[in-house]
Amino acid sequence: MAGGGGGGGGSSSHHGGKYTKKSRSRSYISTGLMLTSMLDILTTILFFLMKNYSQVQSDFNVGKDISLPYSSSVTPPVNALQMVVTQKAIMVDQEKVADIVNGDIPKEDLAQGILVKSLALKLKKQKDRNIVQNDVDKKGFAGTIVMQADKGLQFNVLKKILYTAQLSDFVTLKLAVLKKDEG
Amino acid sequence: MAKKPSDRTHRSRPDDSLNLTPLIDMITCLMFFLMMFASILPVVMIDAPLPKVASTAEEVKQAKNDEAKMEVQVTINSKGFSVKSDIAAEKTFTVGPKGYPYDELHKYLVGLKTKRPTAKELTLMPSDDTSYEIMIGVMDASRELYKDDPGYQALSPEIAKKPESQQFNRLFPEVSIGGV
Repeated sequence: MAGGGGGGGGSSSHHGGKYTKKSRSRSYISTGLMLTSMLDILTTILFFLMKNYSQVQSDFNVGKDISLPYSSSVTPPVNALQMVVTQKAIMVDQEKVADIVNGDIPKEDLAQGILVKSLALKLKKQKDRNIVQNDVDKKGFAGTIVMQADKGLQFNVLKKILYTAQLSDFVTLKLAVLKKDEG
Repeated sequence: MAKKPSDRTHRSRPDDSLNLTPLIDMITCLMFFLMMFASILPVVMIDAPLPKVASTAEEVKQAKNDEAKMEVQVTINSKGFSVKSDIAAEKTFTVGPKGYPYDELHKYLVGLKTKRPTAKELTLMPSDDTSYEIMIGVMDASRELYKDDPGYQALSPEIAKKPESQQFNRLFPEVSIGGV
């Protein structure tokens, strides 16, 4: 736009004051930003993201302060009650129910040395709510629970949690892990 | 009256190039939303049913019938793995310089599966100091056949990435956590 006008103006003095056809046909120089290559890049990224988008489960949130182990499993996530076990706490449905101190559950939170009291209470509430919401009898209760646990946790802690879940009729345990990259 | 050449040169030329700005706007918006949701970590599940306490006579009867199946039990401790089954003597795998011998365990389990192809269940018996990561490693080693295992069925890449692929190349797919 500006380049074209400027080129014509400058040509009159160059050809001894005469305005020639040659000067008018001088190539038009665009000074605008070249967006074509940027568009190419953006389109490529867009296709890549859209291809992968279908494989990503957007409704599954990994808990904070947690490092999940990697696995070769390919089973997709399911919607169920979420239990998150970090190095510091046990959370059910994003609500903290018990602490983990020095890699173990404090004795005052336990009954018979293995049952996590606050967790059992929370799971009972969840079970009752589930039965009412889904209008099923106690036999029809699926008892599905998804556990996200830190990879550094020891079985000493996990067995207390699993025992509590088992006694609370949450026996369909699903372990959330990160998909191992095979490439 | 004719204009001077210098006046004529100020004519505006129509811009005949394609206007890409709206297209870039649209792509940028799409990218933003896709990246926001696609940045979530690829989470998958492992089924690890807990043993249910048999309360009725029917459940007790069913549990007794289940005992007729092959019982494979993998004990995990700081020294390594120990595999017990009712068709072979106890086998121990010790921790080497590279860590836990998952591959050796896997090969042994493939041997057991060859002897009893109908077997599907395996029980983990971790010691108190066993980390969760090692338990997941054992589950991975015992769940499915590897490419170089006998009886492995090659799958197309499209099927291999889908959950349907779990119907193929099973080793001991029903892993439960014992000692609870």
